[in-house]
Amino acid sequence: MNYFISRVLYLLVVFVVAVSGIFVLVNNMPGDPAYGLAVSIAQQRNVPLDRALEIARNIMGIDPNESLLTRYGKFMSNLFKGNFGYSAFYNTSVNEIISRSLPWTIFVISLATFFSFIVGIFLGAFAAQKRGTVIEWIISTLSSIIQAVPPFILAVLILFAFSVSLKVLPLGGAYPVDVEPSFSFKFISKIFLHALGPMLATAIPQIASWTLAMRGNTSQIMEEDFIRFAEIRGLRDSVIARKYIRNNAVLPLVASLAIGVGYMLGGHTLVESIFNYPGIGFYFSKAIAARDFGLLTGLFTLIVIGVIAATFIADFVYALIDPRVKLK
Amino acid sequence: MGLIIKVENLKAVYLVREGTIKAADGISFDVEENSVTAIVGESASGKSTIIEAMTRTLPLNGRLLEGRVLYRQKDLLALNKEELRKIKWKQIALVPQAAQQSLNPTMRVIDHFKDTVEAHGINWSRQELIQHASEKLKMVRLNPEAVLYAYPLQLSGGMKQRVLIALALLLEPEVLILDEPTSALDVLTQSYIIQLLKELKKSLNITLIFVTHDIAVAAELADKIAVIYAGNIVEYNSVFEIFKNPLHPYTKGLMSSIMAINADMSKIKPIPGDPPSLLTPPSGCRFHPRCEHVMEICKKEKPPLLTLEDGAQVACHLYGQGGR
Repeated sequence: MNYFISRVLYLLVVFVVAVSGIFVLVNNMPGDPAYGLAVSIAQQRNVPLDRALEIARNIMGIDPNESLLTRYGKFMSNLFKGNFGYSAFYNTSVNEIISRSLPWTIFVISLATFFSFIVGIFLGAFAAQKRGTVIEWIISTLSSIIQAVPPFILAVLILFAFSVSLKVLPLGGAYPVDVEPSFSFKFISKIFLHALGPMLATAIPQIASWTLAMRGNTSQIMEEDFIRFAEIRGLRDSVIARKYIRNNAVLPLVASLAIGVGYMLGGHTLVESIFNYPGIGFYFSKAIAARDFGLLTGLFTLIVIGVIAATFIADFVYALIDPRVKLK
Repeated sequence: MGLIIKVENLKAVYLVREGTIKAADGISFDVEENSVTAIVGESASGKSTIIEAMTRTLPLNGRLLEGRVLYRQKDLLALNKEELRKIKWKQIALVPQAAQQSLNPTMRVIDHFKDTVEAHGINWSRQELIQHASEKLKMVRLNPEAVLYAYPLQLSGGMKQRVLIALALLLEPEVLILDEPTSALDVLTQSYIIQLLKELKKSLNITLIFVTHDIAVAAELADKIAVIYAGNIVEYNSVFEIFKNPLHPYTKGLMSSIMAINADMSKIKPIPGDPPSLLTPPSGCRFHPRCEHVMEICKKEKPPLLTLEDGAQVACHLYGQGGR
């Protein structure tokens, strides 16, 4: 329990430092954060730009005479109240955008990661058990090559092959515009079809890296004395492979699994914008393009929360499954 | 009492980047039922290789070249994997030297007992398992309640060593092979283990073979001692004879290098020179560069293991062709 409290405090400090860093960075970016909104207001309501700027600042809650410190205080207190700020470009609260986009991103990332983890574990363990054979060489070489391909290049390739040339996958969106969301089989199958492209682009490089990590861990574990001692005791190969090799080789990967999901929240940006998939990354790239500082700060903060939460979960999952950590 | 194990011309090497390490170079010896045999030699003389080759548990870079290991007329080296697996531990148990890392770090001690029992098709209930395991743990002076549910990291080195011995006794094997059973232990635990092995020898129908570099331990426990030098058995005889009347010049050197508590320091003589590299062993008799009785033939011909009239076995040209 002591460990739990110290961990929470530690991560809270990390959170405040990271979010403050974001605040300072974004506030020192050139340009007026209200400018974008002001331009659209000026056009819509036909008012002079000066007046539009005032209105825009009002909507966004910005007082140009406020000091940076006051603004920082406001920003932090809003954050702790659960208010992520205001998006000038979309003219709505960041919370609204998050609630609309986060489920899609989590859907894609978690399925892709889960799937690639399972596949990678089995491929890696298989490769390690075939040590020194052509099979191992093929698996490792292919994995090394695939791992080196950035997801966004893969995304472009997948989009071009399946959506443009073969026309079997849709070009964008989370579901077709002409279908009403419902709990029907048709709608749910459409959701999966639309998510397939981003999922593949995310999963394929991940499969390669899980495979390589698992192969490395497994061959290391296979040389341990306790494997030999299990053989000496006459245990069946299948029991040794499962209880002695795989369980010990997977342990460190489970921790990276949770951390990986956290990092992917931010790393998914390019894949989502290529597939026009309305997740966090999609809005993130829009925020950058439109200089929407409010949305940018809000999404940045969300990513920080994601990484921290993932670290926290990884710690506890690890402690839960590994007696060596649990007992310390 | 008949023979239980007969090792014939066992040859094993290790493949390393620099070449092949000839760690067992034609080892032959017989082990009688319910006897205690000690395999004695310096570090890196190939002692462990012998027992690992006998049980086909050599490390990954180890290769068995030739030889036979007859266990009750069955050649262990010719059995298929599944036949051998069934004999391992149930009939022949081997406690390796690396006791510190020999338990799965993510499994409780009791699960090691459980896996071992299940591997040999024994259907014990949980209660029976706990009962049998506790009995064996008590034999090695461990507290079953404290140890059974512990993870390996919660045990000290000596405790782990004793858990391995308890595990080895679980299925009451006919042959128990121990690799340096006492070297990782403090003096007190060492004497516990020696005491335990002595009791085992008396109470159970068990044949013990153990490897040690500690000739005092060998003297205390063994009926027969095989002296190993650079991958060869140089002498094989009863403990009594080996101490009273060592035949091989190396054994003689070994005996005169032992320090007794009341020894006259001036009589302790180290063996001159260093043990040879097993990568490029000397020609002929591997001991010849260090031997004070070296002859011309020693440099050319490897001496065979001769059986003398009184049953002593020695590999030395001094005793060949009516010598001595």
